[in-house]
Amino acid sequence: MMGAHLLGAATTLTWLSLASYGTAVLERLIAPEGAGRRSVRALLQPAAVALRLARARPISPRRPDGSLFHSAPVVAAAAVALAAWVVPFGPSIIANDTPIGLFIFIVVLGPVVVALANAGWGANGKYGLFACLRAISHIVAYEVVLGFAILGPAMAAESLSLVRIVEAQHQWWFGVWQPLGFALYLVSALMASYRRPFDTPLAGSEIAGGVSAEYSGPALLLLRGALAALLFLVAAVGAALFLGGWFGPPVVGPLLPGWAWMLVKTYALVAFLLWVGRRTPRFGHEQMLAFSWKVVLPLSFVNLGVVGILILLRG
Amino acid sequence: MKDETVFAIILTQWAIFLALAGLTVAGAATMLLTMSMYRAGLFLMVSFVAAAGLFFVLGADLLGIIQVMMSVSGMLIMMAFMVMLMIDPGGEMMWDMKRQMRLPGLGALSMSMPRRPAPVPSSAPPDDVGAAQSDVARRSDALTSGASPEGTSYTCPMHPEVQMPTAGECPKCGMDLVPDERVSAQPAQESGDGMNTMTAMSPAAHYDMMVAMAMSTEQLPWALVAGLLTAILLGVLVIQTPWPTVPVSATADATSAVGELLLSRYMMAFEGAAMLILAGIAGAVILGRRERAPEPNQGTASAALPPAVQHTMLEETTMTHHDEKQSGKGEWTCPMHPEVRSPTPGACPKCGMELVPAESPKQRGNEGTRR
Repeated sequence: MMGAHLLGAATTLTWLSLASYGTAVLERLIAPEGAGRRSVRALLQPAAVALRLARARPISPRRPDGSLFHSAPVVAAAAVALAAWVVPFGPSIIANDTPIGLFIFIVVLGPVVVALANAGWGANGKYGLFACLRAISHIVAYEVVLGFAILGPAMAAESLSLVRIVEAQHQWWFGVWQPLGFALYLVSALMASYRRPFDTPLAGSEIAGGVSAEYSGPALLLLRGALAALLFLVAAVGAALFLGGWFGPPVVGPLLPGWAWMLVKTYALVAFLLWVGRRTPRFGHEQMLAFSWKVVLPLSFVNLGVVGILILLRG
Repeated sequence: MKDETVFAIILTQWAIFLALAGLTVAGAATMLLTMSMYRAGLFLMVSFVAAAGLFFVLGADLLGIIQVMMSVSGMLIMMAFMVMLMIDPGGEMMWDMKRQMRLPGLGALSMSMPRRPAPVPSSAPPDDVGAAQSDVARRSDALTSGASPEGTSYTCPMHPEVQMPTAGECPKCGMDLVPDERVSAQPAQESGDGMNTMTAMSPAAHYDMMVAMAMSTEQLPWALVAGLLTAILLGVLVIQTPWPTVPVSATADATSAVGELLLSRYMMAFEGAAMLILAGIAGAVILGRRERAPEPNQGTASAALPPAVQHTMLEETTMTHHDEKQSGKGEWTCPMHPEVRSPTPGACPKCGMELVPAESPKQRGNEGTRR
């Protein structure tokens, strides 16, 4: 029994690493500048970066809050791996099919915030301190909104299990008749994955990388990998909630197996999110909070009302 | 199911239960002991999350996940406020000093600093901390070797340059002064950051200084006593429960039975809390809508005027009301002297300004409050 669990954990970590590698490749392809942008070299460039980071000598900042600082990347990676535990890639390709999988997914994004806050706080520097506060502002911004955005599919499928929700979409994808909910989910997904335009805890040009400012070597690799995997997972859940999961489009559906459709949709969403980030100016954290609570949250109430009426009309 | 399997499951459950329960208690205890408010929040979060793990073990996973969500986001927000709102977030300064002096241990109780540190070779001290320590060592050496100390004076733990003949408060920071143990041969200005004074302090002076600086630890002994009493009480309750209990036989399903009981009882509490929060939001929205400019009244504009003028003004405004009721608008008034009313345009008899058409008092009041 223990061996099966270990095997499952190893499998999850392996495919999660591969998936985050794919995310990094996509990021390179969409990047505005830098090595390997929009060329074949993008396929290998993240590997080169990872190799360089893994071999680099870690440099510790001056007098960090040791345990917090050094544990933060591990905590972030562990929380992301826990989130991967409940994401389905097929009717049976899921590590843990619980009846409250969707809820668990949202909740375990919280420890990621804790890890980022610890990373910033433990670094014993001004950039890190600001990034710590900004990271905490993220959970205030995204958690409620994300919860309301996923309520639409949960209401339509009458379940919090991601497998049930996907199976409820074998005819109509929820994204088709809940476009507002889909858009709100994507906005809160950007907030929850610290991607532009909501990337102030990591803002490279503004506070020198924020929470990752003081990391180097393998720890930085782990932190970046966790963040890339986080984006992938958030996109995967978006695909499962709104794009029909492993069900292909009507005509070309049988061409690919279910998990391949899920991968295609997930990476399409990842690319879309990265592209949106490229095209949008960065939100300050206070702007993000105001946007989240004054615009997105009321819109999600509207969305809930519309979805409820549609469900009632459908009977 | 075979007996050995059931036994193994029960044993595993007990092991996990004990580990999580220990983590819950340890998290709460460390929260009391740590000097750093940030860490205190983290430890409390760990304690809550471990308690949520207990719910998971009992099979009440929805309850557990709700607990994780509430404690993680709540504690994070609390930590953010503590960091943002306090200059010294509940002892963060002390915590930082402790780190800078490389003192081991995580709690306030391990704050006892070396009174006489080991002598450091004076050639090329490794860094500033080493320098401070060797400085202290030299001074301690001087103290023990009989250098004449100056007459009893008092100094501030943080501002060693302050020298007072009597006990009292530091004129710079308001802290209680402590007896100066420094030797006269050592100029006060040399110990720039006050670290030397701290290392040369007695444990009691130390604790007083910690309390004076850390804001949150004065209640520490009481908190420890209260925590101990609570632990004893809980132990007594577990051993000798005064209310009727349901005997649950030790089977593999027993935990989930307890979990279902928990879920059925506590979900009501959670729903009640959610209702309260919703009611609070609704109340805030309603109150927020009320929070407009106050009803314009005629007295506000005249509050600064002498009573006699106010009186005439009141009369005139009431008169204006009558006029408006009878003949509508059509009065002229001075922009500077609203008590002046004239049926025809012209110059103000008081200041000579041109009269302007009079507005109704209500409009005036509105403009005043909007501004």
